[in-house]
Amino acid sequence: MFIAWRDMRFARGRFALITAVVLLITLLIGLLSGLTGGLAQQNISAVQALGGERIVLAEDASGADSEEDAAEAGPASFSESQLTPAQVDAWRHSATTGKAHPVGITQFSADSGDTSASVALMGGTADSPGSDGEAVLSSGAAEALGAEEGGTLTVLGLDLDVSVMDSERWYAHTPAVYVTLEDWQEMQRRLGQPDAAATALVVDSLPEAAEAGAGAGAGMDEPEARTGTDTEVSTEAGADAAAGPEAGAGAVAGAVAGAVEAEAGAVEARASAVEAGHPSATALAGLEQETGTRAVTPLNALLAISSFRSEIGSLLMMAGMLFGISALVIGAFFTVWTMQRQADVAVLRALGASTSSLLRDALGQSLVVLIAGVAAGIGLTALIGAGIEGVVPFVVTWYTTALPAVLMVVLGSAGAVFALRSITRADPLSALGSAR
Amino acid sequence: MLTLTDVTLTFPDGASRTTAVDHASFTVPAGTVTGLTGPSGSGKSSLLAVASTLITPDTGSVCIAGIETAGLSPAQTAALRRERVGIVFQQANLLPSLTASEQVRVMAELDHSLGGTGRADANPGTGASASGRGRSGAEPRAKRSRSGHTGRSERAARRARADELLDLVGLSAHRSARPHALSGGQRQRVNIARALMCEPDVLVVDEPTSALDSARSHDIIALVLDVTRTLGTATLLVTHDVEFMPMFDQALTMTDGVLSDRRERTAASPGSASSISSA
Repeated sequence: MFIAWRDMRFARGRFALITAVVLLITLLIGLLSGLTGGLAQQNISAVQALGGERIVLAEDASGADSEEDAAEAGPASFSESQLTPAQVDAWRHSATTGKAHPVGITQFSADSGDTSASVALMGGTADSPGSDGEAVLSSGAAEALGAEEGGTLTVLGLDLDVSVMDSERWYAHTPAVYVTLEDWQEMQRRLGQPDAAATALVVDSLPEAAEAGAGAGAGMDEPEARTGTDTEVSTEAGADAAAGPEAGAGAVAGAVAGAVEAEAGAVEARASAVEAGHPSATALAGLEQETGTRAVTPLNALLAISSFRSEIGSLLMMAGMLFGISALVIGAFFTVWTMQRQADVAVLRALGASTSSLLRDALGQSLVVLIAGVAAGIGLTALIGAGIEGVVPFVVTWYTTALPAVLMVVLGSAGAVFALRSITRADPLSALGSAR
Repeated sequence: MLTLTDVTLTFPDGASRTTAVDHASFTVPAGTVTGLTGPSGSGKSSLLAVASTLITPDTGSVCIAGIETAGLSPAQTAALRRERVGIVFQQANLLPSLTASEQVRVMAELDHSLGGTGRADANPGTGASASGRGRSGAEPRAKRSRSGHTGRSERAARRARADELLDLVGLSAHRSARPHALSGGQRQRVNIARALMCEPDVLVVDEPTSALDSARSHDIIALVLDVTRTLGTATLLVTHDVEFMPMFDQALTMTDGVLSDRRERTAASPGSASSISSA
């Protein structure tokens, strides 16, 4: 990079400008990535923490004229899912599944003293309290309600003793409050829904896993009997959940992009598995049909959160377009820069410089600018993110910093390579007799 | 030595072709200067481009230091030009970001070669060890390892050689100056020093005095003659200044693509009009 370094030292202003543009684009992408991760966390972290191998939701088959229509009904949704006691019992007593426990999820308004706030009431989860009349608030809920350890929370006239957890747990942009399943069911009765046994079922294991040594058959599990180990079952997103929703939010956002497409093929996949005669799949499909429910993977369960499903597509599309625009902008800069050097390149080629040495020099220069700009942009993103993390939904992890940085360098390099192809076309003959 | 044999070069001109060089043949021996002159449009620059391997003739052969250029690939031609041919451009064509020293050694740095064998008889005190000129085709000279101590010593050797060449052209006090700080004549000297870095067998000089006044023009021509004698290059110099032609060992005149006149200076009385004889 003999000429490259000297070029950069000589024209500091020009290279500072290009580097600044790369920095700003990287900052934009970094902030969007962090925001996407933060918004995702505020949608899914409570559902992520449920764990399990499958999440069973009631299928909205109303209006379906046939079994096929019912099977091809739109994606299941937490907000529309309401499992009856019969459905819950059918799953819990089925030989098809291992441990399965019902959970209730409802968004409602709660009061703490003079403060009211919308919260997501989660009943019967691993984070729920041990006895009725108690509530465990996520840190976000405690902040929203101004509640403290030992205080009182009132929901639908039901007074609950407050304890506060350290973790942030969110469902559809509302902070989570954990109660027992019985208290949740009582709230449903007060809302005029006496038949609501649960919103969903968390199936901890399927027969293969059970045979592999989990050692459990179908059976009932009281919420009190569940320990932390119940949520440590390895699932597609469970590993992320175990590591903490914050760490996984960004990764899940990306993985969900693929899951959106996979969802469309999920019914077909199940049908194929049934046709193939897979015993577990056949039994599972039969149970789904019999009970009018759908068992989805933890990753697909995130798509059952309506707000997440509608947001993530837009955010990922914005991020994708931004990456594409970045490559174009950086490529345009390098193209103009290369064009300005065309005469110099012609002289060097006339003197006998090989194409590879010229490309090496120019590409090295581009990489220095890219790496400097991207590193500074990501550094600034992390700094800004650390400052605003408590104020707006924002996540600073390696998914929202290092991954966009690598992508930026790769895409920027692609733009630079495209721009540098003109080096191979510089005519050395033009160096003879040329006025410069 | 530079030898062109029956070289013809044509360019497309609408539906037909224009002959820029018409069956030109001549030899430039090592250590001599051949001047080429002629009116504008006579084909001088085209002949220069062929001699420096920047363009391949339609027919004929170009032989540089015993290496036939016909049939060489573009990469081989570039390597030959890099290692055997020095080009002094009409305009200095210096890179704006490089100092005079860096201009001179830019090709050696890009290619990571020492640049030449360091002929002991022509370049005393270069400190460069001979790497041996390859005489088999356009094979590049041996390159040394870029790593570690050898890399550092190679870089130091390149710097030293560049400094010697700047000294040779009288610019040792300006080695750290960039082009904008040099006069036209000084830039042309850097141009010449750069062409000599690879210790070329052939030096091609394209109207070096076109942008200079009379005094500086004489200085530059004298410098070219000096380095030719000192380094033993075969120098082909194109100029429109006929007043310089008697100073050259061989004088060629080109008209409408044809070498119409050839005069050689005899050894009896160099520089005098009576010592010039027609070929």
